[in-house]
Amino acid sequence: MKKNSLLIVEDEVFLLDVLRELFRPTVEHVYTAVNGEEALVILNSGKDIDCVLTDINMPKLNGIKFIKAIREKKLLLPVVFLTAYDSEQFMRDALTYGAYDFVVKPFVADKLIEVVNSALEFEIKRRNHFDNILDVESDNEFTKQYIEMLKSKC
Amino acid sequence: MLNIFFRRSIIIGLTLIVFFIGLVVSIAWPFNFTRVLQISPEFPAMQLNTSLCFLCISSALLAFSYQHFKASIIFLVFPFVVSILTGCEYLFDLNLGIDTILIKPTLTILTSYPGRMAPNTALCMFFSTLGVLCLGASSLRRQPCLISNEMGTLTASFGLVSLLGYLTRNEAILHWGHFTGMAVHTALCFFILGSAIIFSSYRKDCVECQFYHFPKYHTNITLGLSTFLFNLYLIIRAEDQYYHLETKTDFLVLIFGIAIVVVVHYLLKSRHHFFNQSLKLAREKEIILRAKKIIELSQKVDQLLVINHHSPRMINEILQVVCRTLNWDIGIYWTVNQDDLEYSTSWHEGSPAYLDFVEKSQLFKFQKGIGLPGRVWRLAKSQWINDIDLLPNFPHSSFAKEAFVHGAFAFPVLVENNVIGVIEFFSKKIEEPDQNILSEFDGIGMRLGQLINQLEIEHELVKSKKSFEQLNLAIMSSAIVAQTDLQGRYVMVNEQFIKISGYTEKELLGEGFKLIDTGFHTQEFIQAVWNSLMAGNIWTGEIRNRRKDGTHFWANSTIVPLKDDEDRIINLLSIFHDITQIKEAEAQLIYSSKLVAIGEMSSGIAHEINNPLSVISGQIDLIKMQSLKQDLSKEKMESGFERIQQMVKRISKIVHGLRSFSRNDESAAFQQYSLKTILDDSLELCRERFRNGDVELEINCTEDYMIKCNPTQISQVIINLLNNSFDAVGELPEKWVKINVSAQSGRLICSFTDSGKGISEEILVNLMSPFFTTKGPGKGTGLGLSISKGIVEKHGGEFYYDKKSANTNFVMTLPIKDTLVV
Repeated sequence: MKKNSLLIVEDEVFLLDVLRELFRPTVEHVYTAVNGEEALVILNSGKDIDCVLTDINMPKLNGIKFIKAIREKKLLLPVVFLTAYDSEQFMRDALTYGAYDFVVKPFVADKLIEVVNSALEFEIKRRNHFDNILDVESDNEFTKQYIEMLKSKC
Repeated sequence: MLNIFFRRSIIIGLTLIVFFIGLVVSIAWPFNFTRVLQISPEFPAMQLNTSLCFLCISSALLAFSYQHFKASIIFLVFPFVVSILTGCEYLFDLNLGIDTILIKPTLTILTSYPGRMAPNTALCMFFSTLGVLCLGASSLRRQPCLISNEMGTLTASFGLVSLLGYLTRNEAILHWGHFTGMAVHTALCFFILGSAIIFSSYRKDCVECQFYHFPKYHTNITLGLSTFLFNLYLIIRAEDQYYHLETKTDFLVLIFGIAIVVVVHYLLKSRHHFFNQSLKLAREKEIILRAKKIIELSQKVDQLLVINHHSPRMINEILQVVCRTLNWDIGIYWTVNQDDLEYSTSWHEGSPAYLDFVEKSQLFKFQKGIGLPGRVWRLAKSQWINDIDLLPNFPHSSFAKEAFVHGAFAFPVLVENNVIGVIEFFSKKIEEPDQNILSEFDGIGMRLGQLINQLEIEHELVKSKKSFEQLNLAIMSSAIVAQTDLQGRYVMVNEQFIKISGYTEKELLGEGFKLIDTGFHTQEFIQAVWNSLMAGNIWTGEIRNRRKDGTHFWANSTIVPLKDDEDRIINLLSIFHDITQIKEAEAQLIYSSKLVAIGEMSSGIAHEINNPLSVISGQIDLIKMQSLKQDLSKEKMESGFERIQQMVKRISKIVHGLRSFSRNDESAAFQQYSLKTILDDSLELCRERFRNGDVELEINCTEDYMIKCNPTQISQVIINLLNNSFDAVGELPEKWVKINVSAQSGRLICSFTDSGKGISEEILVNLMSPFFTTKGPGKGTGLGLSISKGIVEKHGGEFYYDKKSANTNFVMTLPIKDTLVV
């Protein structure tokens, strides 16, 4: 169960601390960032991250722009949003970019953990599914290369 | 007494006969008409000099009749000189050449010296010249009237005696000695001329003539008889028809002549003395009569002045009274209107002819010096015209004839030597001028002028008093009015003041204004108002006052320092208008707009609270989980609680800021406050919003300043500006807001600059107007800037948009109380 990793993006440092503490028992690697830009740097650094938990209202790169940037990198990992208030516009934007779920602040820890866990499970399932799909024997050199490329992207 | 008109007709007729004879003879000389010159071959001829003298004297008499006195005197120069010189030629046996100067006489029969007039002719010529001269002079003085009468008598007598000589063929009286004799038509002319002079000397305005005709008749008879006696003596003394001059006889004649003159003179003198007494009485009587008339007139005028207060009507009544008292027919009042005399009012007996006359007069305007009123205006003296008909340049004369008016008289109405009007009277009679009445009317005119002036001043006073009373009533019934002395004690309060203050008049009067003072305004404020008032300025502003029941009311006040005659301030007049409701509404508006501002910030505030709340709830959950797993160390627990406490503090700080910002204390008194604190508290409420909106917020405030203010209102201004900037920069690529705080010459300058590129001109026009907004529907009320401006101005500061700045820049200035180094 502990073979997973989570990236938490939150501008409020105190909250970031609490969140790290909360996920320590369930998640193997917890990465943290205080804004979207920092988070992108971590994602780009080649770390294997299974799920992102992010705040929406952040300076520099807010939650929506952040998920947009993730999707532009063709990363399909689940993104869970922590939000202070449920603005419809935010939600719609987030869903457009394939947000996994929303948790409204102030949150109940159990609920948050549940949501994140489900996201992590989803990610594992998705990857497995992709592996199965891509586990195709082929003599064709071009197809081989394409599948490799797809695998590396997943 | 002969009718004046008839008398004048006779005089003019007689004079014209003489003029005609003189003219005919003068013309006959160059043509040598002996028939005309001699009448009969045995008679002596009328000389050219004689005929010319007749022409001149008759012209002079005509001129006198038409009141051309100067012309009459000029005409008299020639006969006077000729008669004197001729007399000298005879007396001293000279030849001055005056006899042949004009024409070389061809007819010299019965003439001792060719062309020279007879000695008795010269004598008569002299008498008649003197007579006419005295007539002219008598129009100025009364005395020569008698002399002209005497001269006329002598002329007429000599003429008559010579005529009788012709009738009786007694040549002794025609030819004095061997000298030339008087021609027959010369004798006739002298008789006529003498009569004309006698008639002319009976003058209406001459008191002697008017009341006592006898002396003149007496003179006529005495002198006439003397002349006859003298000539009779000459006849008796005549030998062989010619009287020869001998020394003895000469002497006797001279003695006799002197005796006659002395007797005549004595008689005249004694007569005169006797009549002088009665004359004096008569004069006094007349003066008394006149004075009575004038007094009667004055009394009537005075009565009119008491009864009437309106000047045109009063003048009308005065015209009536003067006309009735002095028997004039029409009275017209002309008023001076810049360059013209204009018809003002008139009075007459009401006959249609007069009505017509007055109606025509109304169309008239007299310039200075034109017509009788114009002349009076120019001279500022009363004037009299005997007969309008005889004046060539009288503008009225054409229709004066239709109204049958002849005499005219006008006097000026004077105010301090300025003519303000002219009163003119007309009469049907041909009136003779009377200097006394004229001068008396000058006095009346002056008095009347003063009275009219006084009435006008009174009228103005009444008018201004009335308008003042109305104004007073209007103010008293609409405004709250009070008057205090310089110690601030009430000396007058109106109904409105009593009504609003709740005190009775008795309670207020004598009490100081402290009675309604709320203590809301500072001592400095009151001192500043006082200083301004004592400098004589009118102070306007808003004051909070207290009612008797302790409640407050706001008054828009105007305080006027009242001054006495010497410009010293004696009282203060306060005019209040109750603006309590406006003040309340204003406060309500500020409050509502504050709530709107909070609404705009609500998302940021919610986030700001939600974050620490999340931390708290997260921490609590964490502790719970850790305690379940018995993984809760003491340190972990303590740091957790510490964190929770911090978060609670943060929340309570926001709540505090929110509460103090939304507090409804719009009418609270100003307090000393640090600007930095206000700025920090305000920013606390919107920092999160800016952070989330990715808007950079930069504050440059190196020093702290103490300002006297309502902190929540200043905070409101800051938040309004920050909210506006936030909305403005939302879509821009570059998003920043800078707040710069600096001080300059005792004033605090806060500029709020954002990355926006300024505001367009058409928006700037309405920028500060209430309900003007560029934000979409439901986003802005359009009250933010107008209320901010109002708040800053209430704090004695300025609030404006800085056009010079490259970026959008709003500036707020405030007076500084103190500077604190941070």
